[in-house]
Amino acid sequence: MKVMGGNPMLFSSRIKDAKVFVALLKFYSKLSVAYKTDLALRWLGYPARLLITYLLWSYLLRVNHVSKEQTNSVIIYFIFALFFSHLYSFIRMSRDIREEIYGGDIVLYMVRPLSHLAMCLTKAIMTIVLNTLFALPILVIVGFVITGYFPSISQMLMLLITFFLGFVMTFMIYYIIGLTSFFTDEIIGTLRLFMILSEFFGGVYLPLNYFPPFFQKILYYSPFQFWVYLPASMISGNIAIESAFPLLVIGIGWILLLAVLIRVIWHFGSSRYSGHSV
Amino acid sequence: MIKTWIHSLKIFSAGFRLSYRETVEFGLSSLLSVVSNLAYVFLFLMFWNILLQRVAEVPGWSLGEMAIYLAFAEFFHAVVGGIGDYAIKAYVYIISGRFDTILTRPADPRMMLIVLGTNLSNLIRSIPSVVVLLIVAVRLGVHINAFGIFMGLLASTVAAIALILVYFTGSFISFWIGSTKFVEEIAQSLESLTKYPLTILGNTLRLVFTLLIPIGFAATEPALSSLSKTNPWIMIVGALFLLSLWVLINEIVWRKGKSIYESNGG
Repeated sequence: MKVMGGNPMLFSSRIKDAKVFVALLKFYSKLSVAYKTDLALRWLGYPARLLITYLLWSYLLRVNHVSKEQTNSVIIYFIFALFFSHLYSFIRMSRDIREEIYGGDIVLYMVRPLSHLAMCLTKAIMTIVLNTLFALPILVIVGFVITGYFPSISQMLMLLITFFLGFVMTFMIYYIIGLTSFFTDEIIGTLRLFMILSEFFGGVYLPLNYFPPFFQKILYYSPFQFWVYLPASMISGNIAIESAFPLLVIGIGWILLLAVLIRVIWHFGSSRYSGHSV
Repeated sequence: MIKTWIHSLKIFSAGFRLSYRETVEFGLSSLLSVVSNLAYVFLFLMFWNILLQRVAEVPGWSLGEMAIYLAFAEFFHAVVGGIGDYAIKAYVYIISGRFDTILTRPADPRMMLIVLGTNLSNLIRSIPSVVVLLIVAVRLGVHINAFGIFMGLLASTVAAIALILVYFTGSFISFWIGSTKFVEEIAQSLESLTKYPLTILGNTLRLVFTLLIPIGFAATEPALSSLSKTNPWIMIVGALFLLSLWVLINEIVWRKGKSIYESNGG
């Protein structure tokens, strides 16, 4: 994807962009660890939510006499589903974009050597890397050591690929929602609606394979499943690795479509933007 | 004392008027919030329907009874979101030093924060959802106890106020340690507990989340009261006990924190 705001024609410009990108990564990493106690306590939420989900599902499956293997599979799915859903606040990112557009700060990004998209992406990547590093011990202990489950190398590889696709796609969708602030005053209603749909149809509450077949057919082509359901299913063995390949093609298709949408919305939004509110 | 109460009521009503104007100003977004709420309750009912039909039985809860439970959960979230928005974000004011502007005003800073965080849109958007859920419950043949519903709404309101005090207490810890953004995470975790009846947690955890953290009185106990499965008077006494406990804890933390506040960084 072309970096907006930079000169795509010169190789030296690309190197300069890369240096700025690295500098931004360092900056956001320092910002994220500025309040260490807060960073540590922020991940209290993850085991708490995991505990609630574990208690719900182990209770349901126990009273319904489900086998231990199936129970384990469901529990492992939710360990990772909750981890992914907890990894980054895309809603916060959209709201920040809205504040920048509404307050006029977005103008500053139009004159900088790195595009607004790249800066948001850098911040998101750094936050996710730090959150992953921080939560990894809990994840390994709870997801692998306590359950006694160890995924294969191919499962881990597919997890990384599907996670990468899911992150890029979800980032782009929420970025687009943030950019709609060029055309509308407030986006919280839209954000809320999308978040509810994406959580429900993304497998945060219930794996998609439990949905009625009709729903599963529709959701197969939707972008919702890529952030949580697909990676969590890859690692928990819910989905066979071979059946994931067509989904990768669908994912790449969505990313290309979203990239075009971002360019179009940015072009029309920035051209009508007056630099102060909308 | 009466003048103080009247003064406080005037400040509250000013906050509500401002929030009303904001709701009207961003009309489309407010409408989408109502739609998103209706979508949420519909999807969550669908979740329970799928769960009960295709996955597992939930002892003690049918789909209609779950609709009653969700109605109380929605009401609880409406009250917390309607007046408690800034309870979680109070730490921002403390660590940035902006708290000075609130401290110098002729009103309790906590009340000022509540007024600043008043969000009528959050209160209003849940009304259609609650009504729809009650209609669904009746249509599914659930027998509702009207007095139980009234007492349930009361208990849920008391629980919402208690939870707002919990959030305030968490935010006020920033007087000592700086940023307490983790309170947002804890808030989300606590509120996610209201998605499921606490009867699934086992007795010990159910007791903790009912008598220490005000989640049990948010929706589980009110729903049971509406279904005549629990004594509403004991429920109200329990909720008021919990509120008193958190009023006391909050007051202690607030006074100690305020005494060490030095502006700009806490």
